[in-house]
Amino acid sequence: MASNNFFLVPQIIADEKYFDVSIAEILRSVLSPAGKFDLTEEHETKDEYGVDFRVLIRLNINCQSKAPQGWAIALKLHNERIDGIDWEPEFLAVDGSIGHGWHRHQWDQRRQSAKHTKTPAPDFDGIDSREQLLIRAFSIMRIRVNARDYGDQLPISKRGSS
Amino acid sequence: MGTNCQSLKEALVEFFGTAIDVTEIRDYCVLTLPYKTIDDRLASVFVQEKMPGYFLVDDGGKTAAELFIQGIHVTDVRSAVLEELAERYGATFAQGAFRMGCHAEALNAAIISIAQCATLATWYVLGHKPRFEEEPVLHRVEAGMRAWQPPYETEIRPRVRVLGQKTEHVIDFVSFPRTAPRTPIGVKVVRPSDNPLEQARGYGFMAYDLQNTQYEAWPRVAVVTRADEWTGNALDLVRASATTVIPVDTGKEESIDRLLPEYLSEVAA
Repeated sequence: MASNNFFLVPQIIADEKYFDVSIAEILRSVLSPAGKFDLTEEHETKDEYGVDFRVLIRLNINCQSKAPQGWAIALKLHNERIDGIDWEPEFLAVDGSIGHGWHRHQWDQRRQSAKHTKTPAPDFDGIDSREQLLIRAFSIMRIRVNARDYGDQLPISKRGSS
Repeated sequence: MGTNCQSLKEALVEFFGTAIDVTEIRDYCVLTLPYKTIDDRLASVFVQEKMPGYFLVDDGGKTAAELFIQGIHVTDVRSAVLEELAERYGATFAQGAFRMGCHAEALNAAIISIAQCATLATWYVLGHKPRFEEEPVLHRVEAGMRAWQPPYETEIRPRVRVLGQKTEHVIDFVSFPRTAPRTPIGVKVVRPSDNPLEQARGYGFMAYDLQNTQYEAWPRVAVVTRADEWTGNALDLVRASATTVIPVDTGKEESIDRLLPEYLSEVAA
């Protein structure tokens, strides 16, 4: 039966989440004209009483823009962002201060949204490559990807055209 | 006492003067205007002087990126609407960005137009709601495969990677025959996501890409979830690309464990 699993979000955020894709494959995807990456994985987690749950989590990345300020990453549950990295020229930070630039969207259990809870993410200042964004974002969002890039098994001439 | 229209204008001009922020990044300027998008951000406009006196004005792809990241995927229909919106303001919407090229005398108008596009395009967030229908099914597929009892010994392996002509593909589960000279059977879950036709094209591409490889002969079983949400032509494309399709309606996911062994027997027969 379909159910609202938002109560699991704090645990999901704390968990290490595995996506069966390599950074190189993500880069190939975001460097294509569509500039996007979209992958859904099943993730096993536990609630606060230790009961096992399986949820579908989705990793969405948009790096279509030439400017790093146009890039964004989100982890979603029920097609709703539960965690993510984003850039805005000006935003209201969770402590009431005005922030500028890169920030992390954090889950607000009461609102069941990560839209408004933003904390500055100065680690991302000065990034100028998509790879830097992915590596830093995955590190703080506890997202693990496949270290092996299976695309490298393709002959060079064929890889170039994919 | 009448309204002092001139002072009203002066106050507004002063407000805009202080509210507009500009940041210099690399070879372009990012202007932040006091226009709130519907998702509660300030509209930002990227301006780059491409050649003396000629400017490229765009939203830096922020609008489409924000929609995508917030769960609103720019489908073909939405893209057509955004293109039309851009056209109304003399801009274009291409490759995920609202964009305008202009000479210096039209620069201010272009900046305002792009800001309006960036603001209006976020109206899609109003209709966005979380989606609770999608259920994890891989454990059910695995259970169904293990419950299958063919007349020969098998080994079930998850996440089997196969190399096509152009790229790699992952088959969720493959039943390999241990001793009998039978072909392996691959089972893949195909979820409709936001655009069933796009998912069907992805599945179809896998079938096409595996042609003339050793994996072409493997029978393919597609477990199509939320089958009630698929369009006829999308489902037809999956049917044309798979050996057999198991359509599973929303809320009927528990039937996979029971259905899969029956379908596998048919495929293996």
